Amino acid sequence: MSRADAGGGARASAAPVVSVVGGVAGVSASWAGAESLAGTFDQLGELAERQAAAVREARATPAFAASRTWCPPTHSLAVLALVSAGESLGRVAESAPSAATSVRRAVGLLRAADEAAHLLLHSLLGALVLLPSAAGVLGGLYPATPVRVVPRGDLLAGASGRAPSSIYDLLEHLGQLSALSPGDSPDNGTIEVQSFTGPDGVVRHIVYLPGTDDMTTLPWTADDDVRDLGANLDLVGEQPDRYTQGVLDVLAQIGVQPGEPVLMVGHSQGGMVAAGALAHGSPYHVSHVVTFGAPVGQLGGLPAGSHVLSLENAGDVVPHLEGSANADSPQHTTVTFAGGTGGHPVTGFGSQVLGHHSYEAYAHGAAAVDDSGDPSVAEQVSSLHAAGFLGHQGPVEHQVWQVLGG
Amino acid sequence: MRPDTTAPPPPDTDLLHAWAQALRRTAASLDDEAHALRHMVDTVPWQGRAADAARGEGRRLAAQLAGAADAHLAAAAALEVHALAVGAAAAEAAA
Repeated sequence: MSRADAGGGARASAAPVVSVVGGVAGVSASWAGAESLAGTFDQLGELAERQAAAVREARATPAFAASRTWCPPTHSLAVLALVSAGESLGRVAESAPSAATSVRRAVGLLRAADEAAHLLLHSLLGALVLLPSAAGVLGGLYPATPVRVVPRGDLLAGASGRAPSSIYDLLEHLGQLSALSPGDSPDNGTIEVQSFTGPDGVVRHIVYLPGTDDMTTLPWTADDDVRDLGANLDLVGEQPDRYTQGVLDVLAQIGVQPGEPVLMVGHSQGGMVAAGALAHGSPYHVSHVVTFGAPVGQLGGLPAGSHVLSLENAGDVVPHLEGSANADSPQHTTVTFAGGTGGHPVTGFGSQVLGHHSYEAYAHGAAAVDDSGDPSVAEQVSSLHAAGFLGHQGPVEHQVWQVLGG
Repeated sequence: MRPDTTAPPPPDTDLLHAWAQALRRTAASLDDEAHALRHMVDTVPWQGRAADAARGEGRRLAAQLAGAADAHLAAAAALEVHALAVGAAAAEAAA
């Protein structure tokens, strides 16, 4: 995983978007919309029945019947018109329930077909991926040493003092933070928290979580790195992991209050931690998550109203290691883009994997997301603005911390 | 002259006018529902042939609602004509 600074040079160009799954215009949301349409049909049927009953009741009142004596011709015409009005409501009351039933049946069939196709593809992919159950067992082989967190006031990313205004800014900042601990660095495990107070007086926090520091750790070579292979296995297996624990400890040390909105941004393993903190719950109000190249398909339901925006580079194998497609839900939007290797030279399989997973490649995806007119993507980005995470004007506090094991 | 005790009581035309107004309000409400349904049908994020069929059902319902709104307006108008005629007849009888 490249540690290069994504924002070191000119702004990366936007990569072509290959697909967008989920979000407010996703399949799940569309089914919800269709079911809502069926509900409206039902309501209209009930309304028509009530109105038809009201017309019949009024027609039967003694005052109306008595008025016939005074002018029979106009009374007859009025009766005919009222009968016609009642019949027109009857037609609505008759067709609405059957229309609602048809729509519900169609949605049910489509859901079932989609689920069957998903299971089929999942079984085809099963041989290629790390199954969560197996990952959990393997992760258990790593020593479960305690976690400690240390403030690192001596470390600073270039964008630390600036509030982000785009997805590109988030990725750029994350890349700079990751570059603080190149290779087998004593600074491995660094994360950063930006905090600022919006015009509404609400304190918000953005937590930046870089990805794996050491992919080669084996159970008997584990050191104080928390972002190692063992944490990856724990996260895929949805087991408690030291990276997540360290992040929560840092938020506690900083004094983040339970109701204060938190955006978590993560690359690779950092994205898994971020999405996991939202999906599994935490003492903090994580309302938004942005992941870059993170395998997050294993996560279950996300809280209603939450937002997860996942960027995946086509050709990057890492986001698929969990063996599950990201959920198509109104809360979760996955953007796949063709970012290539981000300019990294390809000399073999390893460099190809690293290039596709690099911050430079994801910078092209971030630019594409910022430019995207897709309704699901646009809603995710505008929600980050509306929640006050993007586009803040004013001072920003920032703290780099290091999460260590042992 | 002694009053004719066999004549029907004077009709409550206010009641008939009020009923006509109620029918007009119902017509407006049905028309609003028809518009809202058309909008919903056009904007629901659902694609494919099943979605097209559902949209067809929705548009048919919207047309029926609009038809019901027109029928209510016609009934309101007929009721008002009747109320006026009854009022005129009662006035003539009273004279």
